[in-house]
Amino acid sequence: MSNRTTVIPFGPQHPVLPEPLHIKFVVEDETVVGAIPQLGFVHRGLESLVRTKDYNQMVFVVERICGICSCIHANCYCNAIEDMMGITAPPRAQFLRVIWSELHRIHSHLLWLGLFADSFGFESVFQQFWRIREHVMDICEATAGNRVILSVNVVGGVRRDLAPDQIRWMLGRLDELQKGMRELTSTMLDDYTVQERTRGIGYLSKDDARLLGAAGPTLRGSGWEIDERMHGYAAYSDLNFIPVVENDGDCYARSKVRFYEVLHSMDLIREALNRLPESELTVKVPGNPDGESVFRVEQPRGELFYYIRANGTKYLERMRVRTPTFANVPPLLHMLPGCKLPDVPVIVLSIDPCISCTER
Amino acid sequence: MYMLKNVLRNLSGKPATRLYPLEEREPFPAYRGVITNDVERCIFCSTCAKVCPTDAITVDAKAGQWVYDPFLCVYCSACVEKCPTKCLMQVPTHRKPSVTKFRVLRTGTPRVKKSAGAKAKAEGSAKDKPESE
Amino acid sequence: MFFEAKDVTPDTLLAEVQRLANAKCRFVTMSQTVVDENTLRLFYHFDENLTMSDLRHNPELCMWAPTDAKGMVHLRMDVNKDAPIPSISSIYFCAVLIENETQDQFGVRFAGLPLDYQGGMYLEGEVTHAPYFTMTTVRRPAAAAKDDAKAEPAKGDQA
Repeated sequence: MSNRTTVIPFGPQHPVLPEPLHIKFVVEDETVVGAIPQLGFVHRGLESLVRTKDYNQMVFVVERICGICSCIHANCYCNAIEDMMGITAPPRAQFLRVIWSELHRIHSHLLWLGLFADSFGFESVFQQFWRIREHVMDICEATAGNRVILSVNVVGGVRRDLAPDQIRWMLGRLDELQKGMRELTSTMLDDYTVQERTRGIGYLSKDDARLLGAAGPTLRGSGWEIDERMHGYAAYSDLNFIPVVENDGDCYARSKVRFYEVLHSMDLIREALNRLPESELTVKVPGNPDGESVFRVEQPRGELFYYIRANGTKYLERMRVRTPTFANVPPLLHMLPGCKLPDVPVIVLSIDPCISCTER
Repeated sequence: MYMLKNVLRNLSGKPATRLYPLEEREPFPAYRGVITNDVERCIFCSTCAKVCPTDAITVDAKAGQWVYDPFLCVYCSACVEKCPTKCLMQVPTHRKPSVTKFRVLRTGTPRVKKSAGAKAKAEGSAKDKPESE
Repeated sequence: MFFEAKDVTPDTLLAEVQRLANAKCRFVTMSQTVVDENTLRLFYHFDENLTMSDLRHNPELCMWAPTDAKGMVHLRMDVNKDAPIPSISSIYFCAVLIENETQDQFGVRFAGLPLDYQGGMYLEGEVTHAPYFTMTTVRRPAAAAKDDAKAEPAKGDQA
């Protein structure tokens, strides 16, 4: 190694990082040649709480693994336990779970679009994205009680219901959200500065994305048409769902994927609200879970994977969570060498790092 | 250049934020707020204490005491749903921050066995017991 | 109910993983669970990489019952916790993170890791026993007698 290299630490505290992550960059004259990650700043050991909390109380623990996608963690956990016991939630509960999951996806992608714009200095559009995100937060608060941690999923169904006047109000707010998104489309996607900062940066080829185990928009931005929602869990088989795919493999393609996913999620919510069936909300849970089960859902960041093992008592034996950011860190380490130092925040943010999910 | 219309509209309109705490928004009816116990109807069965994910509720069935720690509570309302007599309620008021930690104590009539036939001791008196940490 | 998984041993593991890599599978993760005092059971989960177009052209793949594999291939391997386990990072580099995490949390060693934190990825230097190997009622054998003194791990306990 020549003596022109410097080692620069990035994080855990950094203005563009939403959560603490530490990477040591080996830099030669403004070009990054190597990157060594260090995780473990937010490790809370939540998987070991299965010893002291029974499987119904674990729903509340699992929701608090991540602060942005909490309802989807609970959804996956409840589906895995229901699979193990052989019960299915009633149809209205499945549609309501879809509606709240898609609302979470919209608010997470709007948060990310704002942070991504902030990473290359475009702070005014950052604030505008967060301003229209408030419509989604108000919908969540009015229907489920809280802005982010909704606590509506239980094993066997959901706990809250939507009244018809709430549905009309929700559709009105979604229309205002769509108007806001339409105004910001050309700013985010056609602006000359945005394209100069994001096109051609952080390239991930199609084969590398598969070999390195990427998930979510990182995978879909490189040309793979893979999305967990196409497997049809929880009422997605009844809705018109199509994955959003781009072929370029750079940061611009990934931001386009997330932008269009917001619009597609709004269409899915409107369709689900129109077709909401009438049924009861929960189904009776027979006894304790016993056995092993595996379940995957689509989080805003990618594919979330749960492995649960139970032995017939009310405490589970093992719960293993694999979050998509954990799978996206190796592609990040592959994308970083060869880029210039000012592009580093753009690339790190383009995989959408949610480190508190990664190190539950 | 594409944001010019947006910027001009923001300059000429009113701000998007409200001046909290001078003006407060009306809370939504489904908002998860403070948990209260109507202790006259409580039968001290400890179901709420068993279901609570953070162990914020302690119930002493013999003395007829229901102790609730509002700072351990995560306001998930699992206790409200499982209560058999529906004496627990969640009101949409937000609990304001406080400078001292305290626990809420409610005392009511404990269940007596029908064979004993004795009358109850304390009669539904409610008091807050401040405990500084 | 248990899902279908193929059993492998540490000797046949690399051959099996290479076969899956040639079949264009994607590595999802590795799950660990404790079977008894000396044995750790590892599950390797692979995804067959079915795209939306595959599902459109083959509708029989679309409906899955809960016991089906849901488009995944699982491998199950029981290992002794003292023997070094072969690492699959030479075929799938992304496995390096999860193998480091297993080293930290369960106190096992992997052989042939290209990026090895040696138990330091999550844990500090002064933590001497693995938090998760005491998951069920398993205690570590008497060779590490000082572990029983601090039998309940400091991390991960209910606050």
